[in-house]
Amino acid sequence: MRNTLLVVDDMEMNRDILELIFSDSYKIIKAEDGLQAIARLSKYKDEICAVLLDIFMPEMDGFGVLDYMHKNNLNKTIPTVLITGDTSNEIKKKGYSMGVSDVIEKPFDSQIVKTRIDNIVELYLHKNSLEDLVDAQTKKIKMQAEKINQTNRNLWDTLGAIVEFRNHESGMHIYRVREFTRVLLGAVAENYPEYGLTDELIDIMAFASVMHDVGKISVSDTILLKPGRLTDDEFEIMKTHTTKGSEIIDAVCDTDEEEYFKYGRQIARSHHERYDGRGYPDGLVGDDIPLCAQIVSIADVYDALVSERVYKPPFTPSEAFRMITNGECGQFNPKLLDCFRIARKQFEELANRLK
Amino acid sequence: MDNEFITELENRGVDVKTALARFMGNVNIYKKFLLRFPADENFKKIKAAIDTRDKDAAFMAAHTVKGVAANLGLDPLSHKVEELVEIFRGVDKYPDDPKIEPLYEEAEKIYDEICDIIDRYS
Repeated sequence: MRNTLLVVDDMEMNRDILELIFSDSYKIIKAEDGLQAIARLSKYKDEICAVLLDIFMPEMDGFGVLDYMHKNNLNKTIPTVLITGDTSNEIKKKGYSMGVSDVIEKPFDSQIVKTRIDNIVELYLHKNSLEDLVDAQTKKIKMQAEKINQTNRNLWDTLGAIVEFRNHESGMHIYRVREFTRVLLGAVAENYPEYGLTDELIDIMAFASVMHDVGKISVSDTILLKPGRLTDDEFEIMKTHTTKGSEIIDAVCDTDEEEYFKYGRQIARSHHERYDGRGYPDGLVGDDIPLCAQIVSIADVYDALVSERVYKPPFTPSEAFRMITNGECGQFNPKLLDCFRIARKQFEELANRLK
Repeated sequence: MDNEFITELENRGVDVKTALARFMGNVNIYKKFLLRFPADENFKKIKAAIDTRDKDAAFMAAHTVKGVAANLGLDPLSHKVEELVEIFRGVDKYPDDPKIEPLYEEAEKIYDEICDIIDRYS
């Protein structure tokens, strides 16, 4: 609670007169010179609502006090009024240039002084409370943005899980792919800074990875759940889950403003592309394939290998590692394979933990 | 404060009414500082500084006396001393102003008269 006036004057009479004027409405703290004033200021800075400051004083003068307040940013919240017996314009101008709110000449009329100081204190209290309000609102807005972000992620997770459940899987696949993706992105960020991956980007891409198979919602049960091998025609339909996926995301958001959507779309469409251009749907070659899609592609293949499927038992993590690095599961970006080797241990730990 | 005291002060040009208002009508505190005034060393310091040609000390002492006198309503004294303050303000060296000595003497005369009244009612 700011309700304290700091009265700074080397003359006892001046301090006492100011105390007589203000002791009804404020708590009064007094200082006899500039050094005492700054000691009081540093101790009571959250309680002082105004400083009434004399100029000519021993030890440190009033300008020294103003200087201290300026350097410590106290002038933003605490108004200062010069109360000076000196009537020269030089002193007044210097005071105003150092940020004082008002200059009152001694001898003064006590009623006028009281009104002027009361007005200044009220103005500053109002200004301070407005600034506090803005701070509080800003914090609230940040929290709400965080909440929206979290809601977005939950929505994405839900969408991904729906697709997976239709596939008669547990919902763990998208979760594991997300974590493998995150690990591989971390290794890329560390070893290939040229890709410009920041922590924030890694987080967004990892969360966007849950959308990689969202297009499967448009593939019929007879194909999606067929226990045996797909015919060529059926496989062609199965392949459309990539383009359907990006269409679904476009239907939700057709601009790239929201990064989740941008990367989600890239991942859904391009996670079956191959580095040598023999993938689908667009036959992109090399780094024309978006980086996040290339990474999710490795994570997706790795998870498929270490998981049990109706048509195969699970491979061990070291078998999966070997099959990916020797090219049995398709062509990948050599830089990313490097990172995959570097992150091998983390992949194996994750595979064991998330079984 | 009894009325005779006030009347004597007012006859010497002291603005008791305005000064009391400055002290928020608190007669006791006004009187306390008024009675203390003759013992204040600052007026003597003006003379000492003039004698030793110390311009800074002269400015500070005169400035202080002016402020105290003005607060107490001792207007004739504060106005006279103010003229001394302005002579010493912001000077690089001690000013060779012929007005200094006579100004001081006039101020001293007023000072003595006021102190005499105060001393008699102490």
